[in-house]
Order: sequence, then C-alpha cells, then structure tokens
Amino acid sequence: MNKDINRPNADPTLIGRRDLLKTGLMMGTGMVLAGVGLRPALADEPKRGGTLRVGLGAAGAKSSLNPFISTGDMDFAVAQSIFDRLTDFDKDGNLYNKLADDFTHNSEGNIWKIKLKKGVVWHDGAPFTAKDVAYTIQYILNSDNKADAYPNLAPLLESKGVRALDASTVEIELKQPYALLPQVLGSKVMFLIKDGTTDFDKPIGTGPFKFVSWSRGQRVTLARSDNYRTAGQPYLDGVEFIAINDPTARMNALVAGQVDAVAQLDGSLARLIEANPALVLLRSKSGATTDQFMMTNLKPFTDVKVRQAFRLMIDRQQLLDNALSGYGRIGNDLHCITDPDYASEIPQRTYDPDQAKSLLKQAGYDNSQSITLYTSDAAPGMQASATLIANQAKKIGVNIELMVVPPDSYYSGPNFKKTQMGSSDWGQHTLESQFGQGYARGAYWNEPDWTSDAFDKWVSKARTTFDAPKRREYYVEAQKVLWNEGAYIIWGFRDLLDASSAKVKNIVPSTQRNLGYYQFEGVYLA
Amino acid sequence: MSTSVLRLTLAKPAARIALVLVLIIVALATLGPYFSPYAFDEIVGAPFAPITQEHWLGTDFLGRDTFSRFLYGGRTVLVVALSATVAAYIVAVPLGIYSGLRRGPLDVVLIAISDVIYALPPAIFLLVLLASTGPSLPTVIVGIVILHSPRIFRIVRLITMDISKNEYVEAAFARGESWTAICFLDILPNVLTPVTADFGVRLCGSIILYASLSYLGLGLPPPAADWGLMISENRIGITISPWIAIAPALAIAVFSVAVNVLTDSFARSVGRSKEI
Repeated sequence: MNKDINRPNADPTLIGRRDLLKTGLMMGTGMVLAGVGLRPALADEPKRGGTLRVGLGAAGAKSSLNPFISTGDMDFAVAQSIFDRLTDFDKDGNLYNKLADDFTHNSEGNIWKIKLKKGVVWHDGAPFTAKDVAYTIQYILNSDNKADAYPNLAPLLESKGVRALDASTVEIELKQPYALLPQVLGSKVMFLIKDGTTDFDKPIGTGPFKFVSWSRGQRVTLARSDNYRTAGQPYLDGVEFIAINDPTARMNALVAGQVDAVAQLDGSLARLIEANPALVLLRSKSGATTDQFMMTNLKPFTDVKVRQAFRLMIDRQQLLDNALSGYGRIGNDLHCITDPDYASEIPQRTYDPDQAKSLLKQAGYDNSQSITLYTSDAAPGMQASATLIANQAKKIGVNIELMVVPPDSYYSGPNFKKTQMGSSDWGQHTLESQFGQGYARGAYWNEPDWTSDAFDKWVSKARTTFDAPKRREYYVEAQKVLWNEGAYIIWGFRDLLDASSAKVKNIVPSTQRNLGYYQFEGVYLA
Repeated sequence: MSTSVLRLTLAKPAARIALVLVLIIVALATLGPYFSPYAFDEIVGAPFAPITQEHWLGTDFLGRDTFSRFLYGGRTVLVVALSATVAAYIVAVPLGIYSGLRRGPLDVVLIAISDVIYALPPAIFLLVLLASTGPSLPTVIVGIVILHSPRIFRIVRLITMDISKNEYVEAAFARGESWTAICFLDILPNVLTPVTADFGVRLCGSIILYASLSYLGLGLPPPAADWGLMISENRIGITISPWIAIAPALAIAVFSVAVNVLTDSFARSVGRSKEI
C-alpha cells in the first residue's frame, strides 16, 4: 500500500491484487513464525550479564520519568527499577522494611521516628540520608508537584511536620494519631527521591538499575547500578522497557523473540503459553481489578438507586468466565480483597435483574436513554467486560453504548471521567492506599468522583486506631458504605498473567503487580 | 448496458467466477442474519472455543458464536461502502460535467480543491476526521465521499471536455438547447459507461477503507457484528482460533478482488463492444 502511494498517479484508495497477495503471504509467514519457539537453555545458578527486554503496555505520549506521576505500566515499571521505598510489600502482600530499618512512635501515635538502613547509596555515589526522605515527603506534599501520593499524605501531615534528626533518623509529626504510617509509606506511589531533585530528565534513585536513556512512550534503557546495596545483584547488565501497547503485538513480540518478557496478558492466551515449552506463564492471584465506574456527578448516577441497580444487573460469573477466561475471582464491589481488613463478611452481591429493574423503576430511570461507557483494551478484560456488561444491561432494557478508544490514550484522553460510565483497572493495593488514592475527596484517581461523609468518618476512625481488631471493625463499616452506595462495579479480581521466555529465570510472581512487581534485581538470563 | 457488453464481460471464466463470488458475498451479507443460528451478541460458550457441530467457526473472544457474527457482519461493510460510493458519484458527476462543460473560475476552484484532497493520504485523512468529530458511521461515509469525489470529478470532467468537442454537442449549442438538456441528453449518457466501469474500483476502495477503519475501532462500536471489527476484536486469539479472523478477512478480500475482476472485465468489454 505504501509503495502504491509513492508511485506517480497511483490512487491510494485502491488496493491492487498483487498487494493483496503480498499481504496474505506476509500474514501467512507471520503466523507460521508465531508458532516457532525458542528452546530453553539449561541453567542452574544465577548468571551475570545480558539485557532483559520487557514488553509493556499503557505507554503513551504523556509517559513520564517522574515516579510520582505514573501514566501506566511502563512508567511504573521504570520507577520500580530506579527508585526504592521506605517499606514495601512482598510477593504475598506482607509489609516489610525496605530502606527503613525501624519505626517507633510516641504513646499518642502522632509522632513517628524512622530509622534508616545504613550503606544505601544513590546511583551517583552520594549516601542516602534522612534529608532525602524529608525532602521526598515535602516534595509530595507540595500540591504544585501533582504527585500521585499527595492524597495519601496530605491529610496526615504538613510539610513542616517532617524533619531529619540525624543522617539516619527521620521524625514525622502527624496532624493526628495515625496507625498505618509504615503501610502508607509502602504505597506504590511512594518512591524516594534525592534531596534537591526538581526534574526527572535523568532520574537518580537507589534502586537496582540506573537510568541510561529513553524515548518518550517508546523505550527506556536502564543499566545495572554498581552501587546497589545487595552484593552481586542485579545480575542483569541492564533492562530495556519497550512499549507495545497492543496485547496481541506484545504476545507476538515474545513468541518472535523480540522481547524476553511481557506483562498483562489476556487470559485467553494463557493456554497458548502453557502449551509452548519455550515460554513460561507467570500467574499470580491478586487484588488487581478491571472494573467499571459510574460518574456520580452525571445523571443518572447521581441517584444511588441507579448505581445499586447497575451493580445488580451484572452477571459476575459470566464476566469472570468470558472476559477473564476464568483467571480470577468474583468481586463484591469492594477493592483490596487481599488486605486483611477486607470485609469478607459482607454478603456476596449476586445477579438479580428483577431487583435491578425494580430499583430503576423506583429511581424513575428512563429506559429510552443511552448510557455511554468509555472503555479500551488498556487492561486485560477491560473492553471485553465492558462489552459483556452492555450486553447484560440490554436484558433489562438498559441501553449502554461503548465509546472505545486506543489503549495509549485511554487514561490521558479528553473523555476520561467525562462520560457517564468508564472502565478502570487497579493494581493490588492495601485498603489504606486504595482509600487514599481512589476514594479521597478530590483525588484525581477518585474516578467516579464519589464522596460520602459516613465513609470518611469510618476511615478516619480506622486510621487513628492502633488496636488492630478495632481498626478492622471501622474499616468494615467503611466498606459497608461502599458496598451500599459506592460507584465502582467491581465484578472480579483478575489474576496477574505475564509470560517470559524460558531463558529468563527467577521472576517471582507477586500479588502486588505484574512480572514479579517489576523487581528484576534477582532475575537472570540462562 | 447492452446484451453484447454483458456477454463480453462474462466471456472469461475469471469474470464468471468473480460474479458468482460477488453474488455469494452479497447474499451472505444481506440474507445471512436470517439464517444465523444464534443472536450476534449471545454468549454461547467459553472464549475461543474450537469448531464444533454447534459452532461452525468456534466462539470468539467473548464466547459468542463466530459463525452467527460472520453472517451478521457483512451488512455494514456493504451498506457503508455502497452508500459512500454512490454518494460520491452523486456529488462528483454533476460537478465534473459542469466543470468540463462550462469551465471558467468555478472549474479552477474545483480543480484546486480536488488537488488538495488528492494530496491527502486517505487513511490519515479519515483518522484525523474521525478523531476530531468522533467515530460514527455518517462521518465515515462523509469521509469516504470526500476522498472519492475528486477522483470521480476528474474522470467525469475529462470525459465531458472530450465529448463537448464533438460536433453533435456543438450543434446542440447552436440549436439553442439549454445547458441542462445538453448535460442530460448529450453528456450524461456518454459519461455513464466509463463511470460504471470506474464504480467497481471505487466500491472496492470503499470496502477496504471501511474495513480498515472498522479494524481500528472507528466503525461500529462493540458489540456490533462487523467483519472489520471481528478481525480486530479477535486478533488476540489468532494463534488459537485463526479462522475467527480469517473468515471475515477472507470475505472482505474475496469480495474486493471479485468486484475488481468483474469491473476490469466490464471496462474491457465496453471498449471491445464499441469496436464491434
């Protein structure tokens, strides 16, 4: 086709028969090649060297190296390789100290002291100190910086509330007692940056890999940090993150050997990977969701009855079976199933089209109207679930029209949060992190713009309660409010599905996020 | 179209096969939904289920019967392509005749406009148009009309200029016949045959353009059944169930090639019948 366009007098709207044959031949060859795999190499112990090439989606023109402004998987994976946090969560979701060594607090619980690990060094050779931690927290608290972590921290403390007592001790004075500070500091968006950092063109962190180069939204190249705190790690010479937004193209790139690992696979491809000895399927049960939200500032979802009806008209089992090919668990309109304080005692909401119809009738819902659901292929099962939901809604006379946009411009597109319904995907979070980012008043990622005084009250009580069972009770109360009045349709939790070439060793699937939480310091190539 | 032209058009076996294929695809697209075993959006099984007696082409990425969706999916492609192509001729033929016959400043303006449109890469133009106005079928049709019109306009204008030099046209002017009468009685009948030969090629272009847009998600939104959309939606499973994407792709390809062969044959037969 392109050659035709360049030919003088060629009509580019027309396709020649030769072009058609060529295209067919190429397609056929591609399909044959797609079935060809690489034989796995034998390897017993970690080998040093080699570059891991990772194919990732959700990269676009707004991609950023600023770890506090994440626009998708690619940005997060890069930040995860370059930066560290004070605390973190292991593959099973347990909190552990990362760059923090110890947390203590006063009897009230409003003044915390954090002892830092010693011997941690930035990529430029400077030592990691308490000043860096204080600066990071102050940077996040500066609303001008628009850090994703701002809604997590701003309700807790002011800028002046954090100070470096000495090189390895930070003191944090909170506005009120708060029990979950270590947990919050391990949130996915709570990366540590070096004192004085104002731009992120060449980011410097303490993580296993240092920045080399990038092409926005296309490729990021990282190299092993020789200053990394774990002796001998990372094993890899470097990591290359390559943006491949289309899930099929990602899969094909892996099969063709253009990348060594890919994240976020569709469930329907899992059996294909399992059948290929040259590939390894990485699966992790997680609290990640591909959900839908209803904008509470747009009619008809200003009415809680309509929101409840929409949650009842969803056949969750069908969504799980057909949108996720069964790779997941049914959801109950609540996030964070893996959090110990998840309200598992709340009864499972089931498919009840009659009750949904009745609620819609009570709300005076006009069946002639059309609801726009903004969606994309930006996450596994996203567009599929939106299509199924539209199909299920039709059974009770509700008309949902899909507005499908390309994955790379989904979250940054002008229609995100502007239509009555939208699709979303959340990685695994703790309740505290999820409530801070996705449910806080005014937070950007509070996608449905949902607020509730009752919810805020229970969350606030939970946060100031140090007694764990009591705190759980408050969290359960908050989740009851969400279950009754919330604006997310959380129909399922999807397993994290990734794949790698068999030569890639030691990617340990994590509940936290794809490809072993993008932690590649222990990964090596056989 | 005279009988001799029809006979000459179908003289070669390739043209006869092409005609049969065109008729099959048209019948499939128009009558297919009436023979569909399932509704196009009914979930009937697991995603990408293999071919069985119940599901002749297996199931798609959502577990819908692929064969049923295939039977439903051709209608939009044909309707959009046909209506866009016809609309392009309705716009461009009168302008071409007027421009070729009257010339003058309007002719210069129309030529300039057609040059500008001609210079636009079709796919990019349509993508920009749909991105700025939002995807919808009427916009797709308007876009294809805009792309085809200058090409048709130029053909008709050249033919008109050629015909207008004939003595019988000059005689008609000398008799004081109106412009409208000359256009309809002397020019249009002579323009129609080459335009008909050109029609198939344009239709083919429209099909490819719409199928491409549909593949990119700019045609009918899900859950509609549409051949282009079917290829796009199921591309993820092309290694598991290749027939899901191949069936609609093949239908589009076969129809495009068959229409092309048929119209090529028609164009050649027009020339030969004149010689005869």
